[in-house]
Amino acid sequence: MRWRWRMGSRESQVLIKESEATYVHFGSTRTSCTACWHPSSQVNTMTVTIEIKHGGLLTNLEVLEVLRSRGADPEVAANPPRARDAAPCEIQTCEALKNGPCQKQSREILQALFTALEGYGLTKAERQQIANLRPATLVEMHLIIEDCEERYDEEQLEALLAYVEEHLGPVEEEGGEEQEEQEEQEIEEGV
Amino acid sequence: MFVTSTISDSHVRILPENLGKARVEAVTDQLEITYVDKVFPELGFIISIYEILSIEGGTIYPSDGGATFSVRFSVVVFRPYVGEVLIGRLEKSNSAGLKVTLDFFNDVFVPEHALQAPSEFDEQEQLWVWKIDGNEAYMELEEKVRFRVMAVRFPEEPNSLAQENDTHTDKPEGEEAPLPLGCAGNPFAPMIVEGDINADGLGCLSWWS
Repeated sequence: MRWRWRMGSRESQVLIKESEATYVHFGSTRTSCTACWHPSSQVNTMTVTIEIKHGGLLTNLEVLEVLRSRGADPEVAANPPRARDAAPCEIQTCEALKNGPCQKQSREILQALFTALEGYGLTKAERQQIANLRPATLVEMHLIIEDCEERYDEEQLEALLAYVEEHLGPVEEEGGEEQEEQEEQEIEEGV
Repeated sequence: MFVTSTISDSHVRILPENLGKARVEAVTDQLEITYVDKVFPELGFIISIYEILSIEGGTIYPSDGGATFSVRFSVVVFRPYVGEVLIGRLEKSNSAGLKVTLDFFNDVFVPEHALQAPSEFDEQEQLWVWKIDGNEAYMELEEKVRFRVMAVRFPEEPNSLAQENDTHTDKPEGEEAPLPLGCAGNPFAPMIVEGDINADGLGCLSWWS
């Protein structure tokens, strides 16, 4: 419960900076030599408050769905239609996510995977990571799961990997395809 | 990688020219202009508006043609947590460390002390090399790299307004006006993700497949 006082346009703040009336200056971070410095985007922190800083983790798939509904994917129309074009960050994020494991995923697939993983006591963050990264090896599982050796033995990890393989499909071998192309070219040149 | 956050802005002003639009559409448009594609300090990089929770108000202040609304909405924020494993592309490499890019976010740095031990910087190639079991594994540019997030920092922006208005101190002759903040000559990143590549499974994907 937060108390609010109204004195003119002032309201109490649950805030990022404790100092009074600091102006939040937004900058684009797409490139560190950013060309998007917006003096006009200064926002008065007296009127802007962050109500919930961490409202929940989103898997890459969910973000991809949101971005597609906002029209960030050139192949999919915005739903509902929007006035201005998608922002550059939306388009770039959509592009980056489309090239990742989530392109083959859907809500049903993820729900089935999480149901299968139910008895293992994985945290939400670990399940999000499994969905985002599509681990294929034990090494990756050790990275994703905290205190892995203490919580699971190798058999259980192999079982987890099997579930991932079963529900999320085989790993896309980008490197393998390129190697095959190179080999084909070499054979042609040899002949 | 992504998180939802709820923000409440009590001063979303719709320009007079947009008052003919449907309320939700006009408010969403204004929120996108103000918030999307920007870094909100201590919150993260706001990617997109997720949902509008409530729109209240519609006050018209004296001598103002636009209407002001109080809006509660949630946004999709890029804010990796400490310990999260991410996959990026190696963009630059110098003696201080690596710069990795996530295509939509370019300010990920891996300092040289956080690389696989023992790693050396090859001055000729300008690349980092991991010397493991007598083999030399080069970290080539444009390679996909797996790293773990060590820290997410929001550096304070230097007080550019004070610099511009600084007419009192004598500047030595020949020194030009400071470059605008954020360009190549005066780089500034409002959000920096520090990564580490110092464990099994981290580093170039090709090392561990």
